[in-house]
Amino acid sequence: MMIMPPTMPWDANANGLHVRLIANPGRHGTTTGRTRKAGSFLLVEVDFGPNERQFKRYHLLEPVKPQEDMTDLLTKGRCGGPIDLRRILTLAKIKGDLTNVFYSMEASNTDFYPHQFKPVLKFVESTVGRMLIADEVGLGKTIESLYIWKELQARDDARRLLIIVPSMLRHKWRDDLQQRFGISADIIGARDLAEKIERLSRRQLINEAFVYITSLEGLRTPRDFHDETNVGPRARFARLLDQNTATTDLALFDLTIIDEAHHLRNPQTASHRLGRLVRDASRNLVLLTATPIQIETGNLYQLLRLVDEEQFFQAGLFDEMLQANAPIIRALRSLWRVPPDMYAAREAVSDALDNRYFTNDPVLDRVLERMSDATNDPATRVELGRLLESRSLLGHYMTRSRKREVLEHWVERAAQTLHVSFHKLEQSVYNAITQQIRERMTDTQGTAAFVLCMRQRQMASCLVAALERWRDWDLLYEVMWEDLGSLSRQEDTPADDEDMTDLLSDDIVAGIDIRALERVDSKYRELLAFLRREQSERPADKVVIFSFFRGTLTYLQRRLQQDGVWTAVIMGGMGDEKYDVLRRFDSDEGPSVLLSSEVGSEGIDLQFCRVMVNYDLPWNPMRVEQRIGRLDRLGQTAEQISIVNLALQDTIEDRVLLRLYDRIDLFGNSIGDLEDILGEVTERLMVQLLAPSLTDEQRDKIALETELSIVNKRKEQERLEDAAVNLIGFADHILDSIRDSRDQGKWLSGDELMALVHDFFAGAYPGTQLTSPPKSKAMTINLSREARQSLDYFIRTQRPPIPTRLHQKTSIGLFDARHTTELEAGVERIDTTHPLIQWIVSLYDTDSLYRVSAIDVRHRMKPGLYIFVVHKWDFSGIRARRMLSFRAARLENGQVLDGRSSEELVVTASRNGAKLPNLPYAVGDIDLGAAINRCEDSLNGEFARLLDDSESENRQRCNAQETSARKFSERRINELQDRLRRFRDNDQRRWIPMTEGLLNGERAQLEAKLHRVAEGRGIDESLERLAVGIIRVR
Amino acid sequence: MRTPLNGLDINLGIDFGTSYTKVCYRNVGEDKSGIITFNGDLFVPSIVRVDERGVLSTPISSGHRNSQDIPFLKMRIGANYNLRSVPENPQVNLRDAVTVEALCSYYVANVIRSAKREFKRQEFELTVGREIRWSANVGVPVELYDSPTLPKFRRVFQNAWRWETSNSIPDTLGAAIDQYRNGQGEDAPTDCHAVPEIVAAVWSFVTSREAQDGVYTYFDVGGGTVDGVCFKYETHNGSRRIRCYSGKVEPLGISELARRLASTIRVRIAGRRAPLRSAALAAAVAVRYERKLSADKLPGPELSRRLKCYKDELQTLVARVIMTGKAKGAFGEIQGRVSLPIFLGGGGSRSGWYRNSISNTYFSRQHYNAGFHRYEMIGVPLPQDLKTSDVTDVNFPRFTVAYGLSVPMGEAPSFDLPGVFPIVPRPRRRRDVGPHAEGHQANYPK
Repeated sequence: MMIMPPTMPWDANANGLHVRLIANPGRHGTTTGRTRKAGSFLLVEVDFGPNERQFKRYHLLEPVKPQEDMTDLLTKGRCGGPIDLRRILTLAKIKGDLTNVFYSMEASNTDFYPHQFKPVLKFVESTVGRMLIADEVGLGKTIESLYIWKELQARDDARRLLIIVPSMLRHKWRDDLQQRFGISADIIGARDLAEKIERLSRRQLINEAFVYITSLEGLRTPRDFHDETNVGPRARFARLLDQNTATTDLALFDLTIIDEAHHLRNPQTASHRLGRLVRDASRNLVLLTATPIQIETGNLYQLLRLVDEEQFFQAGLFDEMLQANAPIIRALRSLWRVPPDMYAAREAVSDALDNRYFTNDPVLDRVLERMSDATNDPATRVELGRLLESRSLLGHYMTRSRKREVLEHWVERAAQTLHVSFHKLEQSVYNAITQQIRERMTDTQGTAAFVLCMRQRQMASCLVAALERWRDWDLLYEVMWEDLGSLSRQEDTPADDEDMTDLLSDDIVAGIDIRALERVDSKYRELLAFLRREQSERPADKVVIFSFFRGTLTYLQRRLQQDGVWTAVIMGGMGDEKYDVLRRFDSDEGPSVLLSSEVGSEGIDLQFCRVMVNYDLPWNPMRVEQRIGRLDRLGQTAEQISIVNLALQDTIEDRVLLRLYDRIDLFGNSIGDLEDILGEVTERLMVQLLAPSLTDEQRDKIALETELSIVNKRKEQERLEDAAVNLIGFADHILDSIRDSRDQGKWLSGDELMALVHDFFAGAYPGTQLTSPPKSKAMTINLSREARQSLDYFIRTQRPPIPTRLHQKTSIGLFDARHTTELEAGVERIDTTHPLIQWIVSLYDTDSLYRVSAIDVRHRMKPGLYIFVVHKWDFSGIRARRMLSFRAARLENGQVLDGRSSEELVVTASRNGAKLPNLPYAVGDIDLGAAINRCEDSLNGEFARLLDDSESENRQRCNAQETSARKFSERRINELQDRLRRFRDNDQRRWIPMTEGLLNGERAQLEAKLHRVAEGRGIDESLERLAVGIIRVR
Repeated sequence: MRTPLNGLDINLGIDFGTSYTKVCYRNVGEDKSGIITFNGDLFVPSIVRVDERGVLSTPISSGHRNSQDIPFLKMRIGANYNLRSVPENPQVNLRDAVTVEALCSYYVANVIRSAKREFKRQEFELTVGREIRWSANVGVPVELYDSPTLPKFRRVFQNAWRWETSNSIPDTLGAAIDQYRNGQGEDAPTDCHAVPEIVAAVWSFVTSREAQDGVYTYFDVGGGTVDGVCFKYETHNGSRRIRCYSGKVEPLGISELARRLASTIRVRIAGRRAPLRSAALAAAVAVRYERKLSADKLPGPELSRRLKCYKDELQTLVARVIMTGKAKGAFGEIQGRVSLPIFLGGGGSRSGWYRNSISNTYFSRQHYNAGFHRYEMIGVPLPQDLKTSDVTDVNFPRFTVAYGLSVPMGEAPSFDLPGVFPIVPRPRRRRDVGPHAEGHQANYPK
């Protein structure tokens, strides 16, 4: 082949002619009509864009013709380089509408764990926009929900995020958002939130952006929220939600995240009412809980009902659904078996089709049809798997990952117990007080009994601290709070009228010489000896000492300081201060010992420590698990963590608890999430053991029975969990597909965004200065005057949700979220949602991109020449499915590569390649057109297959959405009609017109939804050829 | 109309230096530049050799034994420099202008020929099977460009271009002089242009897409000379223009510094104390001492005195460039203080001594009284369109002029030289007129 000259001469003096550089066709502009001579050369002035005109040699330019064929351009040698290809691919990705790209990957500064993208993957595929994330503790549910937020921001321009959490977790969430994602969030109370939402709903400010964190307790919806005389902020907020259910045009919240969502599972509670209202007012909803399947599947049903009331509308049907789902899961298992068992998979799909849930299901029909002629082609299996997954009755609505399934490396837990004998003085005091407590337990129950139990436990924690603290009346509630945790504080606080005066009197401690006890404190001595041994053997190791009792922590701090051990303390109620303490502890020069209560350490990560000491043992094994979970979590680098228990001989802790915990292997393995079972049982056991009439033998017998009961319940729970997980689906192939996406670059990296910025300014707005040190992910950005003006205009008109100062001053942009914690003032985190990127994307129009390139690259593929074609496919029905598709063919033998290899080659060439210097020399006489046709044929075949798949999927989705819309509307209309009747019956005429308005609005909404479904029934498919080119692999 | 098939436009940028010549190329169609090496060497000594029979050669062509070097070719064309130290040659009448110009044409023609050959070797794959359209820019000191000497340079370069393109480079001094004389009348334009060196250096900065409008100064610290210019870069409707308000060149380069200091430094070489002959080493020693020691701790009072003198001359040059630019209105009416970025290029730009001496002009000449902020010293950034390698990254400061020259004539921004800007007369101020005059008077009742 040879480079062809312009086909005919053109007028150098013409004004406004669209021309390009022949050798660099991605650079194009319009002639101004001015010319000049330099030696024997004629030069023509070209306007290349804002504030950029240059004279170029006439014969190096050619006019751009409209609608030029890419194959023609390639055969004529009009080729751009990697920058042109990179622009096309990055821009196609960055527009945020590709189904098979993760926009949230690397959006945080945490390590990559595939399971954390499973919810994202499911959410993107979901038609309802609501999901229950039920991962086990420590797998990062917070991060998963925020990945979903980043995904929604990138895809749907989401602007308003509401996070509802138990009040004690608000600060943790705010810190996580800032530190992990660089997102600034505000903690907001019910009153302020109601006001903001009222303004928002009144003014229809669809561009308003915020991230608010608010407490679940502060928002709980009163039963009488309809009553406008109730002007409290909770009722007002509830009414606003009720009156502003999400429509296609406006939703108060683009996403609502509810943490610890198991608190909402009782349909009779205020929290549940809040959940329902928030769900209907939000465009998307994510519920987070670690304990979805406690005791019985009914709990799971209630949570799923909150996710989709129309789908899960009757408890009895839920079990039916689980059974109907079983063949789908079976089919998936057969499909993913190695080698795949297609016969079994087909059988399972046929079984599913027999069930009334799937009768005439177009997707399953299609899957069955494709399975009949399916080969072992991995790509086909992936697609069939995706289709089956999409029909799983529960898969859309919930996702659950368990450590044993998703973590490749387990941290070994090495436990040892240091048995301590009481000094005789301690023994006598302990026995005397225990006796008194047992006597008082005779006629005591409820909260008062708890207080007594607690005293018993505090003694076992630290005798000196307990005696000191009991003298202080006011500290009791605090102690309970510390010990029982947040929800107990909400729900179990003693009623005001309960008389506990007698229980709180300090006559128990009268006459005891506390200083003498301190001098002989045998437990403390054992601890000190252990710490000294530890420090001499591994001086760099940090040790965490847990106690449930605040008094113990204070006491230990005082004594350890006296003995020259530098400590830090974290307790409940410290607020943000605890993060400062933690930072100091984390530093090499910081304290070597952290004293913490489990409530104080709630939400903090201590994975940089490998030694923990249980100075006392909580009577609820979940509390122990939470302690261990602070160290045994994602990011723990040690292969083994060391758990040391201090036990006083002949106390209840020693005789009962340790034995029980050993039996359920609490210290050796994660016990999962059995809080409700274990908490309840052990607390009951505690009270029983304190009964004064029991002999020690009887106590042991009761303890043994409890142990057996716990072990049995645990087994039952495991069976239930396994059964439920089997019904929900399993994760292996999803995780593989996520890993695969990451390896294939199906996500937007900071490097790509940096390249986008560089590539953009390489062709526009001269005068813009971009500087970044080598290999750095930060860039100093000083926009030219014209660029600032343009960005300023964009910000004023588009009101992007993220603030920037780039249109006003030079700033540093950080393109890698992994450094988010280092964000300093003036440094802006730049991701797809940043105004700079949004502005750049808005300025690229499809005509400005050059789509033909010739690239030279080193690659592991066989050296030689490859032709490639990139398509963008769009199957838009009720939901759009868009993707990039790649094909490459080796010129030497015409072999067409599969989609995956083609994509890898093309993406690598765009990132690491250089322009092929002399295309005719490299290609010789090979027919490029024929090779392109081979790629096109292969792509077209796949396109046709996917179109058939999409049509069946769309039919099914439309049916589901129509049913859902009708059911939702029916429910709302019934509710409103009930309300109307009530108002009429009670002669509350004031509220009737407004309720009638809501009723009419609801009917109109149904019409709109049905119209949308009707419009979405036909698939609108399109195939766009994005790029062609040639790659030489060296 | 040029529309040859499969063509390639290459423009050579030839920095014809006093001591060494450096060459860059530019693939004009793709806006990519690169450095040309000559058998691996980055620089070619700016020397013509002549043997006893009058046969000419250059360091890059095959030489003859017993030939004598004729250095400082470029300086001889201008003859504006102090040539006391430039050696005479008994065989060649170097006071004859035609002889000097013919030798220069011979040298430049050889450089062009070698550069073309080396380029094809370096970029074999790019060039194979393609017809190359060549053009070239050759640098001229700005003071000579803005003077009656310019036609001489143009003539030299055009002759060189014709000789090379017509494959008729003469072999002997006699033939060169004859051919040169015969070619004098040919005024037809060629594609080899004379470009002010300092303007080319400035091009190397403004060719970058990141250049912003503003007033800058640029000092090119070469082996022989230091070249300075105060210029304004502005874009109007996308068209770029460089206005050089002031320019100055003085023989204050590194080699000259070394020459002046050499006689004062004695170092131990090969076990004996001897006068230091190597000029470059002397400069390095001097510059290093200055950087590490304060002036009174220098190894000898004479060295210290000479270094101070040299610095004084250098700072005079710097001050003249800046203050002349100011006097010609480069900064307009200064309100408050203005920033003045100073670019440093050339092989000497990496010397801390030069950098500090230029930067400290601000204090030694009290430029804070002239409305300036402290000078902002900036290295010329590595251009993004320069083909990089380990060699180019390290050596780019030496190639700023050659790189700028590789931008083809006509494509580079237009420029105005200092001659077109008169000194702006300072407005005469009456004592009672000024921004505060009215208020001042108002405070004092009659």
